[in-house]
Amino acid sequence: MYQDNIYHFIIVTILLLLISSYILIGFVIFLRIINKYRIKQKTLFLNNWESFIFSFLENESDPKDLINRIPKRKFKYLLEYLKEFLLSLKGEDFNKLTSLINKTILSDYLLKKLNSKNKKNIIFSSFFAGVSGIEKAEQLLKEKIRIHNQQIFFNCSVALAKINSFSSLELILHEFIKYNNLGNDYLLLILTEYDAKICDEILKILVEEKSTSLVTTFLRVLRYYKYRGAGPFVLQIIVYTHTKEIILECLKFFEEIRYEPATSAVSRLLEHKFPEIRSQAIKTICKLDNKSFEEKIFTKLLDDVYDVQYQAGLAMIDYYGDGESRLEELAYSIQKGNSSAISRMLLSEKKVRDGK
Amino acid sequence: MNILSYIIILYNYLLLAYSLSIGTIYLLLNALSFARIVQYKQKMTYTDLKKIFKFQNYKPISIIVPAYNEENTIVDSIKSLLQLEYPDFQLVIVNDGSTDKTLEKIFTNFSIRQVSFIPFYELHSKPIRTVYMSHEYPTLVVVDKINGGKADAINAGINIAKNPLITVIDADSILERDCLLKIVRPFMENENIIAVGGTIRVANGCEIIHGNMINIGISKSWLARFQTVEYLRAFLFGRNGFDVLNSVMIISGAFSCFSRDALINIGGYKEGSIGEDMEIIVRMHDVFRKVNPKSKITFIPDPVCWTEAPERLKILRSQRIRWQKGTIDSLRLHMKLLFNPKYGALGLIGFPYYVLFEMIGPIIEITGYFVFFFAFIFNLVSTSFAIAFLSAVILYGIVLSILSVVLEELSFKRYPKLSDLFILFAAALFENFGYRQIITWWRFKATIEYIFGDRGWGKMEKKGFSIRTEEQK
Repeated sequence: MYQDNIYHFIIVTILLLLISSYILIGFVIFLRIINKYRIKQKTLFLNNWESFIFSFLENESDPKDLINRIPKRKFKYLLEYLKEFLLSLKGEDFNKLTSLINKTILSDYLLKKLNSKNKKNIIFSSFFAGVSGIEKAEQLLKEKIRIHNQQIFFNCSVALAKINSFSSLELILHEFIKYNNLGNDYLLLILTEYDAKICDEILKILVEEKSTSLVTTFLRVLRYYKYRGAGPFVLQIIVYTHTKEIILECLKFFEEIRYEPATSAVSRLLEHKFPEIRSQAIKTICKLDNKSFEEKIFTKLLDDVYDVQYQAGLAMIDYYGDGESRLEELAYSIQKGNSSAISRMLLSEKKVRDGK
Repeated sequence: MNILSYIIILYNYLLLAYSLSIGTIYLLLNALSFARIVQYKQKMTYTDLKKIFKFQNYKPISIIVPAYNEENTIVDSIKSLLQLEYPDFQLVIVNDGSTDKTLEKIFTNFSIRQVSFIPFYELHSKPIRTVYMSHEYPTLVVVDKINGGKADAINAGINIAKNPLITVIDADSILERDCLLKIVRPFMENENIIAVGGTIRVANGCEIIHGNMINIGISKSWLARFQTVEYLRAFLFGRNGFDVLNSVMIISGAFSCFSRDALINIGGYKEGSIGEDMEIIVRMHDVFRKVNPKSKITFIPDPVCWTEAPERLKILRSQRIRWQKGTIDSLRLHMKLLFNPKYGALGLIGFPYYVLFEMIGPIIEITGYFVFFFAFIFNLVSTSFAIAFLSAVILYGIVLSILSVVLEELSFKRYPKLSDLFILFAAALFENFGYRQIITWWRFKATIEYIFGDRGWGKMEKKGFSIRTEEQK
């Protein structure tokens, strides 16, 4: 009897799971049907309104005239349609499209959605608020990034960056630290949505910043915008820091903007204990001064680490006139382990590139 | 009742416990995977991969493609691989002493010319005859070597590869254009990552032209359909779930990415290994977890690689026997990980799971069927027990398969037609009546063969995507 109860319990449990699965099947099929319906509605909307949207883009008409004619319940389809263009267009057409949003009742519609508690609504509306620069949205977006939700945080931060809200920068950084799951690339994605003026703001913060990951991210932003004004400051950093990641970022920054005053500091790093730094220093020094360091770089072909040797070989071929003949000597006269192998490969690659 | 009867009844109870526990473990893995995939998918909605790569924090990749008698697919494969989206990669095709026209076809189509490469590293491999580079495609390197098997060919490729990340790909795999951008992300986010695997999907029924995926669909063969569901279950639930526990024990050889230094440190792929893709991962755990407990082997749930599943029982049998022998071989070689707390969840959960359910599981299941049948015939178990037992095993299987299709639909939704979704649900139901039992029987056979010393891995026939696509037309 006792055993029978166990069997029955097992069967009932599994049957419940099975019923749950079938409910899930029903659910996903329902989602498909809903999706199909939405696509149909969107197509209908486009059939009716696409020509009017293009006519608006071609003529100097008032955006309100167009938006007031479209039923409010169709706004979602309109915005979905506009999104694709807003992501790809620039210039006059882009400005015209944004005027459809920020100069009409669409902005109120979006603000209402942004002010809701629904995650999807917030994310959906934050994109348009950012891209079209709805002024009233700034405060709302700032409130939303305090909600502890990764998706909302990211989307609202991007929107704030797009409208160049420098007053939000500190808040964004403060909230970003709370998300362990978000790598620094995501902060970089946010910060590079600001225009190049962000570099001045970043320089102010960089002075005080202690976190290695934030410092490297800030240096990447400066590199992204090729902000030459940061050169002296970054030179100070590279001289005093001992952190591998920061040194590497400084080197990449100097390489990107070709900051010649850093040559002496960079040349000292050719002997650094970390191979990643030696390797990057070779790349950077060749961009800063491609005459004085040939001998030094040639000796790096005999480094203990492959990546340093490879970088030295590349530099010899790309920057020094007699680099090719020196590599040939190394490749075919004496077998010097990896340096021979690397020289042979680089020479072969060059011949192939040159069509020889 | 005599002792034999007691033993049989006891065995039946153990069998029921075994069946329920494997199902429950899968259910728990499902829950873990579900949370992870939802999180991953949400993150990917705002991950602008192309912009991230503009920041230039990526490492260059060398893609290694071991090729043995791949004349049907090699040209399309190379063309397709050369079109992958990645800012800096080298493609290394290793012709592993093919006896067909693999090398001639490469010669004809890619204007390759001999170059004087010598290996950078000394991983064991059969001698390299010649290295070639293409004038038309300077990123293409072709290594022609004496036949030595897949592991040997990959080692030869690593010895020649110039970049710090190594991706190993099967010559007949179809990759999504942005797969490299995705598989490299974990390396960019965490410097302790030493290997990353991607999700493999069944390509049968899909429209593939010249090595490129045009339309995703479901095969007309039920055997391929069952495997489609099986792959969904294994990759969406199994591997994702184990990844949450940092216990990924296998990364598919069809598409994987490694840190070159990690590969060199462990001496590359093991020569003559049956399941080289599993063995190298278990060995990496074995070696690196001791040196750096933070080192991690991870897995991305995106469907990034599509592969041909066998549509004939004979080929499927040969494949599954090889996989089972490979699993046993890899586990046997690293038994010190079993219940070893030094390896964290891997030693305490992942490895024991594989030993119990993957290595000796088929023996328990097959002997269980016989003992159960014997007990039922001789009235040693009641009809209610028999019904409960069979229902438990089959219903649990159905639930798990259906859940995997549901998760696919709620996450990646790669099968656009509603009819395909119905077919997948049907396959999830029917695979539990015959297909699973056949697979278990082959795994049982492979285990017995392995125990008695037959450790050969047979031959896998392949049809080639190009050919199949032509036939379908």
